[in-house]
Amino acid sequence: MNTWIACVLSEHAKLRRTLARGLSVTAPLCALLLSLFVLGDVELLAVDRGVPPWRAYLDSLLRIWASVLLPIMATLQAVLLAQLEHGNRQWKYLLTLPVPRATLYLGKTLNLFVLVALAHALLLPMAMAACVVTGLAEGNIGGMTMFLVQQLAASCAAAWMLAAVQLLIAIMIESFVAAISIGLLATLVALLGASAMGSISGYYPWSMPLHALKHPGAAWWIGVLFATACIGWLGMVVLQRMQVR
Amino acid sequence: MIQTIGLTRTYTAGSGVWDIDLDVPAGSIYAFLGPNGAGKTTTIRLLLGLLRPERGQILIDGVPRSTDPCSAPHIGSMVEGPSLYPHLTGRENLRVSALLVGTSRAAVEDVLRTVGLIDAGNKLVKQYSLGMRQRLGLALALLGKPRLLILDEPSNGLDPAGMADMRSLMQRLVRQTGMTLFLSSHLLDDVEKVATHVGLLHHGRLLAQGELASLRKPRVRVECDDGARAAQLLAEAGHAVSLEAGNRLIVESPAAAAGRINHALVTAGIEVSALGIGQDSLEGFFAQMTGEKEAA
Repeated sequence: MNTWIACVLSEHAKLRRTLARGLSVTAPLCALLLSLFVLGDVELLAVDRGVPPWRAYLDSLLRIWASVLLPIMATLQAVLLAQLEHGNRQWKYLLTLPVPRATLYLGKTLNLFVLVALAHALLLPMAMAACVVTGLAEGNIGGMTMFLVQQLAASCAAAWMLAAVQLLIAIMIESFVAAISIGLLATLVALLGASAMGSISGYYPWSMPLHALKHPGAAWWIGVLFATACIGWLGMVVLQRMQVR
Repeated sequence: MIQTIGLTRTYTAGSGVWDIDLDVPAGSIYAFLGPNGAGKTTTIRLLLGLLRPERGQILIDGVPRSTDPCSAPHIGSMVEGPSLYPHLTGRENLRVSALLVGTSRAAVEDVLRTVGLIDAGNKLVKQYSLGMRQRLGLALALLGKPRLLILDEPSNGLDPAGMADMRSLMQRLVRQTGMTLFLSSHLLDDVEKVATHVGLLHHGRLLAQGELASLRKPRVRVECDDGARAAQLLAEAGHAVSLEAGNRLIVESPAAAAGRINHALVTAGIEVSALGIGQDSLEGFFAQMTGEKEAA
């Protein structure tokens, strides 16, 4: 079997019974529950923004998701993935196996990306079901689906950049609390300082999923893709140079 | 199988290992001995590529070792206790590693059977006893059928029965597979029972190494009615003698000299009640080596 496929499958096998995997289900569920609080104001919001009620509701849901729950979820998942090795003193075994360290890092990164994508994939039917059950869909299933798929795909792709940054931090910092704190603090900064940051917020990893919902141009996406690749490469270098004392 | 030349690695606190020249023959059980903090784990981490040496060279089976584990023959290892995922079962732990080592599921069952965990394979590791964890750690090290196994304090935390189990398991493995086993320990009595070769590490320096039998000095034990006079007599005859309590003497001499010692004592009118031959214990040898080093 190809080494990197083996690494991906091995990382996947480690995720059994982990909180990291459970978060891909609970995080979108939490976003959905929080979005129910705006249901009462949906009509007003729709009129205010000049959009159909389902769109006003989904905009609110996606904002809650991309600005709060997604960054927190990605932070937790990245740290939990890294802690599988830090916490169980696994590096001293893992790094002696006949596998290139860069491939090990790649396997971990891809699994984290899959977890983030899974959460988005689950949020799609949850959000649609919410619209249908509350009567907001009103026969616009096609348009609603298209809108949700586009927005969730954008949010997911931008979140991969955030996840890559978080994973790098979590691999470099052995302390669970410190790694989590950095992610949560960065999320808080994104929440409170987004308006103060202005256009720069689009380049702040913890604001990127929210920025991605605002239809940024191709240049921004190329930048995100490039930055994600660079962060991934940096992670491989970090693991390559890691010494286990 | 393992050769190091001038292997050196220091830490900022002043500890580390200096100029380690290991020579571990293929097919041997090499016990790497030393008190806690002597540098055993540091040396093992250097051998496994987990640490980079400041100076020196490591050759595994003649191949220079770098930090890239792909560049050298696969080494099975267990460093400072087993590295396990407690949320997975024993079998799942092995399958995770089997994917990386490139071995089949059948190989997983094989190693589970070898370490006697075939019936406990579906139990979560967090429910395992310490002894079972050690055995699973050994099973992980055995995946991929490595020709060299490096175990750091494999008996740590085990009760006497568990230690005996681990010893017989290690001996069986070497006998059946012909692999080389490099194990570190601070429990001299424990490794004395399994090792064919030893290396003694003290304050980061290798004091001695070689075949166990050649390192331990032969000695003759004597019990007589006048220990002090017997000790004086034998010392005058050129023997290295130590007088112990109860008129017991330890004479550093080969077994062949026992008859001459007995004759000399009896001729001098000393009644010999017991005479035995044996070898210096590893503990005695270690104490002697470290004592000489401290004195130097």
